Amino acid sequence: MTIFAVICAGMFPIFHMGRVWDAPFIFPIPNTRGPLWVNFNSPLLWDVFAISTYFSVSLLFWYSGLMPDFGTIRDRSKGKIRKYLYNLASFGWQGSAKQWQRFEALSLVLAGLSTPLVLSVHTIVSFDFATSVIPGWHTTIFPPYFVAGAIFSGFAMVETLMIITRKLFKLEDYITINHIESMNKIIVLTGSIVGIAYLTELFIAWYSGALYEQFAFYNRILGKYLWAYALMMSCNVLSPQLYWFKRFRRSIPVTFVLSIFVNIGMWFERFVIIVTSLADDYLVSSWAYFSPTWVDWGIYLGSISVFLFLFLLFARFFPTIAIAEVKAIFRTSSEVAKAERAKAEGATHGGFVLKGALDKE
Amino acid sequence: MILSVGADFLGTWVSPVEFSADYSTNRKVSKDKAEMSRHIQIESMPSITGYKADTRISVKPSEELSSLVDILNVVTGAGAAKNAKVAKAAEELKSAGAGNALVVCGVNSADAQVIVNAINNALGSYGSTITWDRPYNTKQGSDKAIVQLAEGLNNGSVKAVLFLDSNPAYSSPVKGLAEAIKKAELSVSFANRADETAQLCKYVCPDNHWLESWNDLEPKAGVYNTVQPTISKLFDTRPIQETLLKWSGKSGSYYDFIQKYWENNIYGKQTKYSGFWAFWDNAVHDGEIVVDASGSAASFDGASVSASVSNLSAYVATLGDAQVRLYESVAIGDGSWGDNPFLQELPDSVSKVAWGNFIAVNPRWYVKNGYNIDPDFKEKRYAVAKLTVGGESIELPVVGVPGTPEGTFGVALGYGRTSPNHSDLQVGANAFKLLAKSGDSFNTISKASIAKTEATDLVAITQTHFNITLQDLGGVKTRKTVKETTLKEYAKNPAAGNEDRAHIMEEMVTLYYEHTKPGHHWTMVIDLNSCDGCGACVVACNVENNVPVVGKDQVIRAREMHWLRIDRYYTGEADNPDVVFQPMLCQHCDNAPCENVCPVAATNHSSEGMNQMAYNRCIGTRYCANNCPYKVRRFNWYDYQQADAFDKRYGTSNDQNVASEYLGLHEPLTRMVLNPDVTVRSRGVMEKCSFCAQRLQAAKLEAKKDGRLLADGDATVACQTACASGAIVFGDRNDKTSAVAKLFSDERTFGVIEEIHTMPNVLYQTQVRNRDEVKKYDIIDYYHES
Amino acid sequence: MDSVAPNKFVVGLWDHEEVYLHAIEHLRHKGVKIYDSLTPFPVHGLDEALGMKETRLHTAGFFFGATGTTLALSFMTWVMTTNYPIDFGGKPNWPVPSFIPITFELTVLFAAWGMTLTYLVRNKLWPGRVPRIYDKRTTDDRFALVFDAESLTDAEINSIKDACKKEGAVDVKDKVFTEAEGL
Repeated sequence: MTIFAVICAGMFPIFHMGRVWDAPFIFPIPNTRGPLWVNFNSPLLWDVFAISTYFSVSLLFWYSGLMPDFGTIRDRSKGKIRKYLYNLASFGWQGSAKQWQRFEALSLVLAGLSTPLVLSVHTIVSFDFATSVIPGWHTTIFPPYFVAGAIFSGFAMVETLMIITRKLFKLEDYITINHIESMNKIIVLTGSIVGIAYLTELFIAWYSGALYEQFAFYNRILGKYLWAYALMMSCNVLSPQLYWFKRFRRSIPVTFVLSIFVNIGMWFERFVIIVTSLADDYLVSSWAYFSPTWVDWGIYLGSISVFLFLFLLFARFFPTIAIAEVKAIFRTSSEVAKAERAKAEGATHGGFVLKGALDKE
Repeated sequence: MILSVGADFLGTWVSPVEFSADYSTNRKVSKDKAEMSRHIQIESMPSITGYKADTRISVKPSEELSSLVDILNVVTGAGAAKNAKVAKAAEELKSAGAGNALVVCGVNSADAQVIVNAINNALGSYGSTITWDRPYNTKQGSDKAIVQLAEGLNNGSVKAVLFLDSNPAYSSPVKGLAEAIKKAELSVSFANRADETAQLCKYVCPDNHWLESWNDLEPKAGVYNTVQPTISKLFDTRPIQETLLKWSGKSGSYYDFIQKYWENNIYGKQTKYSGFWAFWDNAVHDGEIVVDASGSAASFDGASVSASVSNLSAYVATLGDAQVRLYESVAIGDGSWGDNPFLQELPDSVSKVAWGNFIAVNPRWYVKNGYNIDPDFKEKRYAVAKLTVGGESIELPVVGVPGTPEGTFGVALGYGRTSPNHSDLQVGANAFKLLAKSGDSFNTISKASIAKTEATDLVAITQTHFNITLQDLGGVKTRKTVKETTLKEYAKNPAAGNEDRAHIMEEMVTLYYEHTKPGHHWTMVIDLNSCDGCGACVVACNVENNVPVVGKDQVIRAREMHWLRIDRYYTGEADNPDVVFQPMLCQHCDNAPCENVCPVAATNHSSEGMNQMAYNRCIGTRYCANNCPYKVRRFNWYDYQQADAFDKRYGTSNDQNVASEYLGLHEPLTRMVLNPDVTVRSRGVMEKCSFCAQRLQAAKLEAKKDGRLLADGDATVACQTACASGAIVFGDRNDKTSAVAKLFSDERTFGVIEEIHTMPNVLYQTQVRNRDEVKKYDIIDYYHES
Repeated sequence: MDSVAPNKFVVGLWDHEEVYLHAIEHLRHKGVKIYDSLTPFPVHGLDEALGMKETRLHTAGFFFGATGTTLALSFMTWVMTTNYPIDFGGKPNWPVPSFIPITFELTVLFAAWGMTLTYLVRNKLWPGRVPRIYDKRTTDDRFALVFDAESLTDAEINSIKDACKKEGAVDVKDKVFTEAEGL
């Protein structure tokens, strides 16, 4: 999901370039202009590095974890073409002890790298705003606030997709209500952090005494974009508060609806930040109102479509749950295993897979 | 002391460029000379002159007329004035002393002008502020004659008519004139484009463009100009003068004719050159010869004053509550250049509306009467009203213009041309037909009625009106975008109105070293006191720098490409605000926020302090435009000038809505307007003011060829050269003797939002008004008042 | 594949990782040489049981990361101060704070890619590689031990088979690869 989201995210700056065909200029490649390299001061350039690193490291993490699973699918699939293709995808995975040892080492380090990378990518994206001079953007709170927002909206988006996938693929035994409840706890936590960040922004704007800053936030909450701010606040801050109640945390319909609310809310957060700040900034003479054209709508809806298209392709052809990982903890942590253990200590082996039929040899 | 009644002498009245230059010389203040003229404007429809005045008295159109009577009464002591403010102004005129005051009036009425003469006579202006030696020859007309012409054509007494530089079929309010022209046995138009009148004529004999032919002029008595052709003629045309020579059976070219004329008539009037050829060569080289002129001193004949007063009063009495005030906008004027896209795209100085005219109304009236359909200017959609004057009516969108009194409806003349061959240039409605006949003249002030229609229209307004202050959260805070003071305060303290700058400069600390500017450090200082917002600089910039015209649709989307715009800020009371015009261009900040954020290093800082753009490198992320606090960067949404072959090559058709596509900037002929020294920008790149880098480079090369250092004034920028009032001073700050270096450290000088440490290289000087009170920066937001 | 690699094997299959681990320990104790061990998921303790050395992938990762850091910092410094110094918004030509994000990103990028590529190379994984599949269920639910039978006598092979069975193997079989064998 990250991968597809990042693909979409990466597409946006490219789509919005005036000269898409010159997009390679953003990489420091030697050229005939001196060579004129890139501007390492630009947050947008940091973004280029952050997003491409994030994308490629996520890709590595994702794919290196997929290889053993492709091996499994290869060995279980029938038909030459399928076997050939899945073997191609598995890079010829065998599952030997040394491979697994290195696999473990690699996953550990990649997981370790990915965590700060998540923080860094959102921090750097927030630098696009935080290091600029526009009132409403120029705020030091942005990095943590964006990270919390990213986790918040990320969990919500995962929930949206997961609840559908879980139902359709009958994965209820793998993704249990306990998982969903835990995710909802994270959502209420990060949602509240984001809420506090909103309030902090307002307080700091008032406290700063700076006219431009004060106006930016005054205008944000009471100006012509009041509707957007209200939507953002209610979806992002108020709606997740329902999760304080266990009944709602463990309700699939509530979770599904709220996850969509959060998605809407986070979209409006960006809208509020970008549009309200830019529409009315320093010089009153340049104030204006943003109204999207059909192109804007098209790009927006198109990006959602691209994301869903890629996600559905993935769900159709690739394992939606990491097979090897589940197997590894199956014997110790699964509900079935726990029940088994409680029932009888005698069976030391057998019953590895209780549900579903094994292939016949 | 100047008192103007409805005369927009800085914008449109008689010779505005010359008046601006003269007016501003008396309005420039410095520490050594803390004095300036006093200017009172009595007007209904706000004009740039009114907005620049020290005191603007907002009156209804009828009161423009009646105030003349008031002033006359006060000045001559013949009676009392009805309007207290006008009375006060008249008292001031009286106390200015004999020969120190001038009253002008822009109302097209002989009676009004007679009264003005009477006032000036009483004030002792004749021979002092009004001289007779150099009358203007630039404008002349007779409303009576055109009516007679129509009658003559209709009854057959006039059989032949020739039209030169006139377009009465469009610009005359005489009904049936067009039909009458068709009746003439011989009708010839010399227009070099198919204007409304030419289309009716039997013959069109196109004149050369004035840049294609020899000519001579006498704009003012005793001022003789020569005009040289700068280009060989493009089309199959012939100068009107040669045509007339040929028709009258004379041989020889018009050049020989002019030369002969100058030899016989002008050479003798001067003493500077001996020998005709020396005289002639110099006259052609200099383009101007000024000879002594002594007009006959006129004396005032007061006989008709009382008749005029009663005529005028009678007319005023007929005007009623709702009155129309027709005016010329600075950009379009009388409409003869209405087919020029540069001028159509130039926002009107007062209303900031481009591409079309509108009905200007009082904002309160606007809100009260249900015209406030889009208070946030989301779409720039305005309600359309039907304005009727004596049977003729036009439908136009209604726009609130602060300073317009209630019951006044201002409509700009010069729009609604039907002849331009591009539909985008046929904008607005023709208001000439609303000119009502009173006596022998057509009056710009008349009784009107207005009715709101169901229709709405989009208006290409480039600056909508928002509050400059923030009034909540405990106290009033004001954006110090522009700074104002009064002459009195300024005399006491040269930093008056600009007191906060010392503190701002103190706070400017940095961890970083400053990049050295070892050669030049180009700097511009703009005197807000001199700037009257006419927009000449904008057009000059557009022409010099190949700034594309984008058309009405794009302007509505705020995609105009102007590198230089004139911001208009209201200060003071809501119903009659003061205005400060602020030319806003790239500030060439030494700490430019835009430079930091460009990922591809397409914009960066030169060692001469200029913020420069590498168009070839730009990929159009538009982040720089976002991060520009002054919002002066412009993005090429389309290939406005076909700089790039992308669209043609790939056959995309999404440029159909772009004006350039159908305004013809892709055609070889119209591309002649492009300046070869300046690159045209392709679609998808950012552009902005370059400080006319090409002109600076040319000046440097010129100096280098001469083997000398660049002197102050060698390098000029286009906007500076176009500014009649000398508001823009440009030069090298490193040259300590330069004019700009002196202004740079002047107490009146400030930078816009410099508190965010952008260190702009374009600085402004405070507006100083010659009056007692300083008004607060506080305007009521009409559009959101409940 | 490697031409000198053996083609004849004995494969023992287990179905529970704990039994499997015990079996490995016992077999090794007996002195049976294990050619390879295949499992469907990473079994904890397997490398100790097999007596494998700790992988040096982490160390490689560190050096790749350090390369990224050095390269990023030195390249940016060279560009901004030596190769083409430009004044951007009045910032100094060596703006260290501006370098932090990119340095961090390149460190991670180099570490991740370097490690992954090393991992692929060392694990002999590449698209299109045809692996030797000793048993199809080793990627599903069977834990396999592979013994090199090329140079062993039949007796030795049988003893290994017996030992495996004794250690709880659910199946023991011979596997011979021919050159032409694919998937």
